[in-house]
Amino acid sequence: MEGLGVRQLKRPWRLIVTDAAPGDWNMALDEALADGVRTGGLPFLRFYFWDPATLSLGRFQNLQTGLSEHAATVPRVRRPTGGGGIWHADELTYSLGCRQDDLNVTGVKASFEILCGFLVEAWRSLGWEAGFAKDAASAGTLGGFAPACFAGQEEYDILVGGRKLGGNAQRRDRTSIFQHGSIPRVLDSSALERLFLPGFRPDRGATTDLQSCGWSGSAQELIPVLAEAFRTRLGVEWSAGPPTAEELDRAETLRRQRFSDPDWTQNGAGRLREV
Amino acid sequence: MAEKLYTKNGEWVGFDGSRWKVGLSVPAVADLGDVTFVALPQLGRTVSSGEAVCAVEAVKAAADYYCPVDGRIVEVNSRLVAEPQLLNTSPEDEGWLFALESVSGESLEGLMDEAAWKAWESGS
Repeated sequence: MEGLGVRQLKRPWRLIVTDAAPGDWNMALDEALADGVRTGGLPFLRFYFWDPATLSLGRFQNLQTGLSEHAATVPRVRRPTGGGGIWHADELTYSLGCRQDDLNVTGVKASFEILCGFLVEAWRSLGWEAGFAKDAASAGTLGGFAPACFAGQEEYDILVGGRKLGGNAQRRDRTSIFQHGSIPRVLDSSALERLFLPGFRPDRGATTDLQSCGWSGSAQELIPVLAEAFRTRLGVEWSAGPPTAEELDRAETLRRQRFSDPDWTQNGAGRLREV
Repeated sequence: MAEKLYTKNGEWVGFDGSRWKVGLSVPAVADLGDVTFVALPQLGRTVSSGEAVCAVEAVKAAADYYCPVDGRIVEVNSRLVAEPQLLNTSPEDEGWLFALESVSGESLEGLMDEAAWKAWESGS
């Protein structure tokens, strides 16, 4: 893959693994960790899981387009990042936050290449044929919003065996980047059919999951593979750093005042109010 | 419109004869990709230079943008509600974001004119 090389980054990164939790807590802790980065804290890479299974919605996603009536009945949370809806069930989720000057590049696309590059590295280390959609020989039209995140295909989507594995999305401000991604261990096609209207569902033939790629272990067991790929691909050193008491307090405030707020979930598209 | 002034984050501001319009530069929008939603600021809001004032969602990234000057928001480009793709096709003309009055001259200082901005942009 042209353009992928190890770049030495300046600050150590925190490696954080948290237990399965509800969607509002997961998003709140992500935001609290990202707040820490914005105020000068170390960058972080976090791995986590969801319980109960939850539909996450993109920051400005219009709930009137592409989602079934059933989608209003399942646990839901609106993410701070863009993109379409994702059903988080049997999967590994990662999130990361850094300052823009923690990277040696500027711009959205360049940052995606670096910050998603570790996934390509990880999949290749397992012997899988992996790369970005933009480099795929069969790349057709890329781009365009999809109410179901996995239904679309973007330049920096990751393909394994020619099929999209998971999805990634960013939120950026002037100084920092927050990104998270969903890596399904087993895609629940029946759930996706219940949640997304016909014409808006991921094409099962164009998507894949870890099990289909050949991963026979648990999602948890994949964390060391991804962490090592991140460490070597980006040239980072790890700093121990579970969430601090302050971050957990901040997360609880964010959970209570934003991510568990039905108005935020339903109408967040029209709100820029920050807690 | 009088010559635009630019920020390093990709915002521009320009006087159209009666108000100061604010938008995003061509490279800033191109880097984002296909725009799917624009969250515009509230009318009547008094804003300060550097204050987060709107957000743009493209297919994979949602990005905050900042008011480049001090002023009061007197109009938003409501066309962007139904046509967010206008930001992609005409970011420095029809895709303007919002307009301000009572812009402080002091807040205009430090912004780059087009020549300086292009020189900076090409070097980054």
